[in-house]
Amino acid sequence: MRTVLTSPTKATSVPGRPVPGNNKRRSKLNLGLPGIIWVLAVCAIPTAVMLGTSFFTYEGASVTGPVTLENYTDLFSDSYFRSVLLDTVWMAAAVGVICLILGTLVAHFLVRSNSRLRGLVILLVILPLVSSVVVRTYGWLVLLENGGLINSVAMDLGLIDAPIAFIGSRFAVIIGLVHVLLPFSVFTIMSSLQGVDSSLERASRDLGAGPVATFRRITIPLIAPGLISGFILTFTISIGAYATVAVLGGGSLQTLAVLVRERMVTSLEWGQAAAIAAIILVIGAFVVGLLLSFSRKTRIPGVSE
Amino acid sequence: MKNNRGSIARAGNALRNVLLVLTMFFVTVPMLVVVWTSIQPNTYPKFPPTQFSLKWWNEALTGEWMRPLALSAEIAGIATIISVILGSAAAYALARSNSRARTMLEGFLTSPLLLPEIVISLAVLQFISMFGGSWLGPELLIAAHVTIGIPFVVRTVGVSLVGVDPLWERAAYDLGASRLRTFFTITLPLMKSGIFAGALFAFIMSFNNVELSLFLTSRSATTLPIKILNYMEFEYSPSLAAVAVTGMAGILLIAVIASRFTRMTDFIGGR
Amino acid sequence: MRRRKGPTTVFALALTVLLSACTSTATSSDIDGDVLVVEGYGAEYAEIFNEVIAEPFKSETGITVEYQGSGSATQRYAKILASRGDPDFDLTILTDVELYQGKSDELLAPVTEEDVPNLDKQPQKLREAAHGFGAIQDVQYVSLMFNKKLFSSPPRSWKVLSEPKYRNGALIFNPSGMLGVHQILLSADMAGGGINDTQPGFTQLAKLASYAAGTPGTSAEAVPFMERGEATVFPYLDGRAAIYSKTTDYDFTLPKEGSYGLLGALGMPAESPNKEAGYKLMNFWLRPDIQKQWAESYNVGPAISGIEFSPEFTEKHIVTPESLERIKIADPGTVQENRTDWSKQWSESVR
Repeated sequence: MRTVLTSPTKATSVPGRPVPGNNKRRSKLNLGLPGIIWVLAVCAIPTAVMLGTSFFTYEGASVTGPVTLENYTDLFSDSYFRSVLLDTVWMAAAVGVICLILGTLVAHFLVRSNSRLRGLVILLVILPLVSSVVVRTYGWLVLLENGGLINSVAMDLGLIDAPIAFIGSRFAVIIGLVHVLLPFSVFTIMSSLQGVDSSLERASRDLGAGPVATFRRITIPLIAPGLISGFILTFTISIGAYATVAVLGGGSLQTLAVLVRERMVTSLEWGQAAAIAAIILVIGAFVVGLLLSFSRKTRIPGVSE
Repeated sequence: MKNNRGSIARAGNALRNVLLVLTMFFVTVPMLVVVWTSIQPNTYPKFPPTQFSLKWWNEALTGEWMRPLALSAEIAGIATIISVILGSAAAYALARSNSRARTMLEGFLTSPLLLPEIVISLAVLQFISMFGGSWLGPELLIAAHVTIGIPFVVRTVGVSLVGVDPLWERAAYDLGASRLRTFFTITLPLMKSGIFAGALFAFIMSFNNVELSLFLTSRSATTLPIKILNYMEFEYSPSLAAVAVTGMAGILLIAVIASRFTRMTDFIGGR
Repeated sequence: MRRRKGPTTVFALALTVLLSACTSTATSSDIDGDVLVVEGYGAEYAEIFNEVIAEPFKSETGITVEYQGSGSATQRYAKILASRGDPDFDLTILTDVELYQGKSDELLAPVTEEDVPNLDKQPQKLREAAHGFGAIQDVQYVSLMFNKKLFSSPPRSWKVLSEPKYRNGALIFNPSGMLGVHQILLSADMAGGGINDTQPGFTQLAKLASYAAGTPGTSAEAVPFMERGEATVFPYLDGRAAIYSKTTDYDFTLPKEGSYGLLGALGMPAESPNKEAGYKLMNFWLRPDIQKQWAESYNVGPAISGIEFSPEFTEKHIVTPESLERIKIADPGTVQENRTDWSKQWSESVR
């Protein structure tokens, strides 16, 4: 294992016994097979079939006509679609970054503090996750509407003259998504932070580095894998999120997922829906690949992956 | 100099605490609004709260809502167990394989998260209809939910295995422990935190799932979130908030029970 | 090499136990010949259906109707489409738009007067709207809903929607629902365009959008605006308008320019194994006594002629041949063809 510098010498192996982790690498990989087969059968193959049909012309539910790029060229020649595409990507990125910042804040508190409030904080963090999406977004609706709590309180206090139209704005959608996805980034960062020996941070402080410097130079590089998985999770879920966007976007703000649903259910243009789905997949895969290769390049020697 | 640094550190801590409190507010307030909606008498709650009523709970705690709630829990429970078994096995295999195979397989196993669930939902429906059979039922929902449970388990267990040196296993093995014993005494305890976190995620993803289930529900399998959604399409009633609070309380109860056996912080991640 | 199968064995064992447990707990309800599965709207619609249709139908024919409430008509049609006409229901509640779609996709079963004799009582306009692939069972129209506090007498024209006095409380419905589509067509008509020239309508809506109180996606989302008294005037389907005219300060009217109709339709997936029972239910639903009861419970116009209603009901809903003449049925082909473009233009206008 290339990442470990302080390994016990190999000489300790008992002669005649196979060494797990080395010789048996093949048999260990078999353990992954059932999961792979499951995902293949239930998700990958059906979706691949459907995405494949994005290169054909559709007539209602049936694939007709020859192989064509028409579904894609139609989409990309449309300036409206391009703006929705950009909107989706930057909103998902914003959600990912905000989740990362707030998530690190909360995770650091949960792991490094001895406060009695930790249990409560965890409870509060999972709260949005455990409630149904429909009702959670309803909570935001009550708060953010023109006649909602925030606007009416702000108007009573004289802070604003006219209600701010939150619903339908990118702001509302980003807030709603951060709210649901925050637990994901908190937990991923937490598990990664717990793997980091706090004595490293202490040592850095003892050597005279301030808390900010310690956090930046020691903690962040150590928890980079957790940060990256956290971002990947929140980013990819955000590009595909439908319900939250549909409710808080007020119907006027569209993202790729909303377009997919509209093409599939309302206008029944399945070829285009499949093409948009393929585009979402490519964006997601691109970001994941980029971040993973980045995380490998910046790996610090001596620290396990 | 030293004093100065100390005061900066204190200011930094104070700032961090303020941000933390604000974040907790942000997370909690919408949920409190939902709870409040369920215990006041108006269909559209008015601020400031003045009245109290349990009438929505009377409507919520009936068979009409509790049956789908039970079904959702059953589906989520079975899907979670399958996801945990398949996902941790895969994570274990990934953590012990070389990095190219690992990246590819991990990417593949997490791919269901990259697709809009609504696409998978229709793709699955279209796919099974190609084979003529009407396979709709709880089994199909479970099968689909497992695919979005696996990525979470793979990630959480994977992250918990990252800090585990394979040499520890080897050491145990070399000291004469059997593979089975090595697995149960060394590997499994190290994976435990990841498994708990993954199971929690998988359960929640299934229990609250709307988009993946949208086209896969049927008469024998209408889950709670889908039922709420269908209801909302027609009208909104705070009894939906009451139903949702019930479901929420159920999951929190599971979390609290689990916390009796491990500390709450251990339950989510780490060791 | 001893016991080398440790983790793998445990894993395989656990999986086997689980899979067998999973298949044994799975529930499936068997359908025999005497059960008809109907899928339609949930909530209140389901309650009225069970009371007015399902129960009397069972006591008369012995056929049990199993009702499943689900989202929207378009969603149900997408399900028929995905399953190539073999979804898990025998009959479903759609609108005339989906019947047209079902005809061109050949995924709905044809319905003739031989199958459903009561169709002969139906006005020609409604017969045609079913395209021979279903039956229209009720008639709704887009009414003008107004805040009674703002009007001493009911407004008579759609033009009030854009009047400066009222536009601050206007609602603009999203064309993901038919109500939104109809609103686009109405504003196009008002602005001198029409179904084939919707641009003036969008210009009008874009102007209105900067003042409007909200852009609800479903009619349910419009309710808070009424409960809080924020909405002034807006288009709304008469069925639900009638409910809220009793509980809020709002009332509804059919303006002098006329309006668009939304036809409730029964469709049968082409591969439904239960067609006989399905036709029976359609015929039952179109029987005069049932039509009257349905119309009065759901606050909609009947789909057959010659039923007597109270003067108040007659005035508010599409009952007489004259009022039926005043509502237009948007050409479903044109709607289907342009829906994506319209919703795109709508988003750009309303933004």
